[in-house]
Amino acid sequence: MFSMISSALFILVAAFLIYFSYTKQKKANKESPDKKQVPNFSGWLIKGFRSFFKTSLKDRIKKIDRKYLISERSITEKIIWGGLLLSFLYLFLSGFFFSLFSLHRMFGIPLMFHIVLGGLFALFLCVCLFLSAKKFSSPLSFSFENILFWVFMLSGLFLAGTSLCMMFPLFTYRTQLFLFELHRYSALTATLSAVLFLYTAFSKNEKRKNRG
Amino acid sequence: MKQKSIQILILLFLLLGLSHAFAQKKEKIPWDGSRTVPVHNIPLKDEFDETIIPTESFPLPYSSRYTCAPCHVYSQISQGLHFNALSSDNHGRPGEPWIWVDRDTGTAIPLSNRNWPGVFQPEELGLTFWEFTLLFGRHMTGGGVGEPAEDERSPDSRWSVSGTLEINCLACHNNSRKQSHSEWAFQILRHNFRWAAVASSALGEVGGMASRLPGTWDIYDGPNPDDSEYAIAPYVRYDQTQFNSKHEVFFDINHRPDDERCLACHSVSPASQSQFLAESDVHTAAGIQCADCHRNDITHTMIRGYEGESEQYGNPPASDFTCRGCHLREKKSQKQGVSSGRLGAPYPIHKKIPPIHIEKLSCTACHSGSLPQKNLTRVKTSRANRLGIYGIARWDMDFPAVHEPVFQRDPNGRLTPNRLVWPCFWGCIEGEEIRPLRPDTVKKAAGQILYPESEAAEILSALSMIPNLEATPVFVSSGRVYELNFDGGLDASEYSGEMPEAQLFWALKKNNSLSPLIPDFDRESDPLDRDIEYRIQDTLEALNNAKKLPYEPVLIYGNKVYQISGGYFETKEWNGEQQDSPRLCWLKDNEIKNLVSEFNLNAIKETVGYSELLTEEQVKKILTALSEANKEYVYISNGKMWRINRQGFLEASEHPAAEPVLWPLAHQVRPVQQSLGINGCSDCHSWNSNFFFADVTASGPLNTKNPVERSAHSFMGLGGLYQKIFGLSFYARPFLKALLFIAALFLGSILIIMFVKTMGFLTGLLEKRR
Repeated sequence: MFSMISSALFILVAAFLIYFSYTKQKKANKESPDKKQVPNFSGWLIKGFRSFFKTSLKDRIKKIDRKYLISERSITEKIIWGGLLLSFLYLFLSGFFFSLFSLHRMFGIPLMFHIVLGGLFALFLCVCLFLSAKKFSSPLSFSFENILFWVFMLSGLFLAGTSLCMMFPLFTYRTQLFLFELHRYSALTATLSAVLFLYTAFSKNEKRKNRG
Repeated sequence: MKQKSIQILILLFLLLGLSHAFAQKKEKIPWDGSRTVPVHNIPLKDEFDETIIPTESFPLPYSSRYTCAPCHVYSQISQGLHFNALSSDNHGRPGEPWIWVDRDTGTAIPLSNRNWPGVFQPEELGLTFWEFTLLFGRHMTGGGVGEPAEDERSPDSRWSVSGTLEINCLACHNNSRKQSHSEWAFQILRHNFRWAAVASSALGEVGGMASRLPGTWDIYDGPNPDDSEYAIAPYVRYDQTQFNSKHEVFFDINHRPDDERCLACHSVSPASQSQFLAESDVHTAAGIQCADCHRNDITHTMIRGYEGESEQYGNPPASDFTCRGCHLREKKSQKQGVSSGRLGAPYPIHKKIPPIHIEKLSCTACHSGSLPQKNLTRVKTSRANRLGIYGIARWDMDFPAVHEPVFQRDPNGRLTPNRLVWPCFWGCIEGEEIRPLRPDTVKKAAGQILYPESEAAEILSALSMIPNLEATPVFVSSGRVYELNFDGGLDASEYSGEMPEAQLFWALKKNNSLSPLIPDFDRESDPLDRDIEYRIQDTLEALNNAKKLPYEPVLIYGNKVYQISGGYFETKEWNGEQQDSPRLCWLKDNEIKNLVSEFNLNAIKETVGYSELLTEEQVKKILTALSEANKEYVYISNGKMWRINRQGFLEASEHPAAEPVLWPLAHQVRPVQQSLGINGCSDCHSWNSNFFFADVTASGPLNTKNPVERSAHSFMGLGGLYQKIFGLSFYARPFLKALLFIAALFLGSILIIMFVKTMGFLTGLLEKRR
C-alpha cells in the first residue's frame, strides 16, 4: 500500500514540476524582449535530458551553486545545510529503496547507516530550525515556501519521535507496526515537502537573479 | 433376447455404481457431530480375519488390520504421516532422520525414506525392509516399511516367520497405562512382529522368540514340539478377564492420543539434565496435548504445524496450527479464513521487539529448544538414542550426539532453530560422491582393530579367576585405573595415588585402594616366600588360560624369570633386559611383549571413559585393512573426511558428505520469561553473543584434535564481522536515544510555539506587526 501511494505521489510531483517548469519557461520566453521560440513539450524534455548528460560535473556544481546560491552562504551554513541534505539523501535512498524495490525491510549495513545518519539528521534539523525558524515564521509571509518548511519540520519531528519510541520497550508489536507506518509516511511527507521546498526556493532565486 | 441382454447390462451397471457408491461411502464416514468417543467393545480378529477365541489352545495374535476394519479403513490410515514415508511423494519440511548407529565401527548414518537433504536412502546402503524394521522397529508405529508386499520382500528376510509389522493402532490410541513401549521394542528384537501389538497392549502375554526358529517355520505350524527350552515358537496367552462372553474386548481408546504415547518416540531432553529439572513444554503446562495441535482425520494426515505446510500438503486448516496461525492475527491468514486464537492462544505483546524480528525470525528461534550457549547443547532423542525402553539392560545410548540449537534460514527466509547431527561412516569414494559402507563390511575387514579393549578385558577376566583374591584385578596407566565392567568391557576412573613407574601396572583394587598384583619380594631368597610363590603361580596359570597364543606368560624380576613349564612352577636365569620391579609379560624365543599391546593400550587410553570411540591410529589401520586396488576408502567423522594420503599418512579434509544433517526443532516451547531476548537486545546483539557466535565443533566418534569448528553465524548465511559491529553499535544506542529525545523535544517545542503563534494570528489574538 505504502509503496503504491509513495510511487504515485513521486510520479505526480515529478510530472507536475516538469510540466510547471515547461510552462514557466514558455511564459518567460514569451514575455522576453526577443520572444524566443520554445519547442513543444517532448522536444523541450529531450533537450533538457541531453543538456543534463552533456553538462560536465564542474558545470553542474556551478549550476547548483547558481540555483541555491550556495556560495553566498557562510561556511557554518554550508556545513549545516549540506549535512542535513546529505543525511536526508541517504535516509531517503535507503528507506525508499527497501520500501519500493525490496520484499524485505531494511537490514544489514544499510540499516546501521540509516540509524546513525538518522541521528545526525535530527541534529542538523534542530540546528537548521534554530537558525531559520525566525525567517520562516513571519506572519506576513504565509507563503507556500513557509508552509513547506514547517511541514518538513513537522515530518522531521515525527521521524525522530517514531524512531525514538520504537527504541523503548513501551509499545506492543501492533503499536510498533503503527509507529513504523507513521515513520514511513512521515518520511514520504518530508521528502515531498523537501523537493517542493527546494524547487520553490530555486524559482525564487531565479527570480531574484533575473531582477538583479 | 437382445432386450433381455440390455436389461442385464443395465442391472450390472447399476450394481457396479451402487457398489462403487457404497465403497466411497465406506471410505468417508462423515462425523455425526457427537463429541464423544464410542465404547470400543469389539471382537479381536486374527490376520486371517477370524474371530479370536482366547480359550483356544494356540490363539493367534490379533491383527489391527481386521480388528479395526469394520469401522476404520486400514488402507486409508496407512497413507497417514506415520506410515507413508515410502508411498508419499510429498515429504514436507525435514524432520528427524533415523540414524543407523553402530558403536563398534563408529558409524552413525542418517537415513530416511523421505527425500530430505543430507540423509541417505536405506536402499543406498542395501538396507532391506527386513533389516530396517529390525533396526528401527523399536520406535516405529508399524505399517509402511514394516509391512511390505510379497514382491517387496528380500530373499534373506524372515517375514514368514515373524509376520509383518502391522500398524499398531494401540501404540497411540490406547488410553490404558498398561500400554508398554518397552514390550513393543523387546518383541521387535525377538522378531515377534505379529505378536508385538498384543504384547505391548497387555491384552495377553507373549512368549517364545521367532528369531530362534528356523526360517521354514510358519504360523500354521504352531508350537515347536521338538524344543521347549530354546527355539520356542511365539505364542500369546490372552488375559481372559478382558474378554466378555461374546469374546469381545473393551479397548480403552483415546481419540486424541495421550502425550505419553507421542513422547514414547518423540522425547527430546538435554543430555546432562536431571529429570527433576526437566521442564515440560509451555503448551503442555497449559493443559494442551500434542494432538490438540497435531491433529488429523481418519486419513491420519497429521498436521505438523510448520509454516508453509498448508500449501505443501494442500491442507488449508494446517495454517491454523502454526505458531503464527494460532497466536498472531496475520492479514494473510485472515484472508485464508484462518481462525486464530484456538485453544485460547494468547496474542503476544512483544514489547520492545522491533517488528523486523517477527519478519526475520521464526517464533521458535526465541521460544523453543535450548537457549543458545557458548557451545551447542547436546540432547538425546528417543529415536536416535533409543530412549524410553526399560528393562534389565539399559537401552539408551550416548552415541550419536545430537546438538541444538543451530539457526538456519527456513524456506520463508526466517532464522529457525535446528537440531544437528554430524554423520560418521566408513565409505568408498565413487566419483564425487562417497558411498557409505555397511558396518558389517567394516567389521569383517577391521577385525580386532575395532576392539582394543578386548585384549585387556580378557586378561582382567582371567586374573579375576585367581583363587582367594578378595579384590578386583585392575590395571593402571597414565593416571587412570581400568577395570572390567558387567558388559565385558572396561571402565576407567581417575587415579590420585602414587603413580607407578611402569607404563602398565597390574594391581588389585579393594575399598578404593590399590595394591600391586605381584608385590615386591626378595628375589634372592630360595625358596621364595610361599604366599608370593602361590600368587605368581596362580597369576601365570590364569594368564595361561587367557590367551591362546604361541606366547607364554612369565614374570621377570631382576635377572630372574618365573614361569610355568610343563605344569610346574620354575625359576630361571634371565639374560634379557633386567626389570627393577616384577613385570608380567608374554615370552617367546627370548622376546618379551607387554600383556597389552602398545596399540591397544593407546586406544584404551584415548577412548575408554570418553565419548570418543576410535583413535586416528585405529582409523589408519582400518583404512589400510579396507584398501583394495582401484578403490579408495575414507572415514567420515567430526565434520571431515579422513583418508590415507600418498605418503601413507592419515589426512583430513572437508567434504560435502561430512556436512551435518539439520532438521528444524519446534519443542520444547519455553515461557516468555525464558525466551531469547528477555534480557534485552544484547541477548543476541553483542560482540560475542551466543546466538551469533556460539562455537559449533563437529562431534564424532573419532578422538581428534582436528575437528571442524565453525561459528553459529556461518549456518545463518550472515557475516560475522557485520554482526560483531552491529552488536557493538548497541553501546552507542543510549547516546542515540538521548540525541533523538533532545531533537524531538526541541522540534516539538518550536513547532508548538509556531502553532500557537499561527493560531493567535488567525484568531486575531495576536496582532500582525510590520
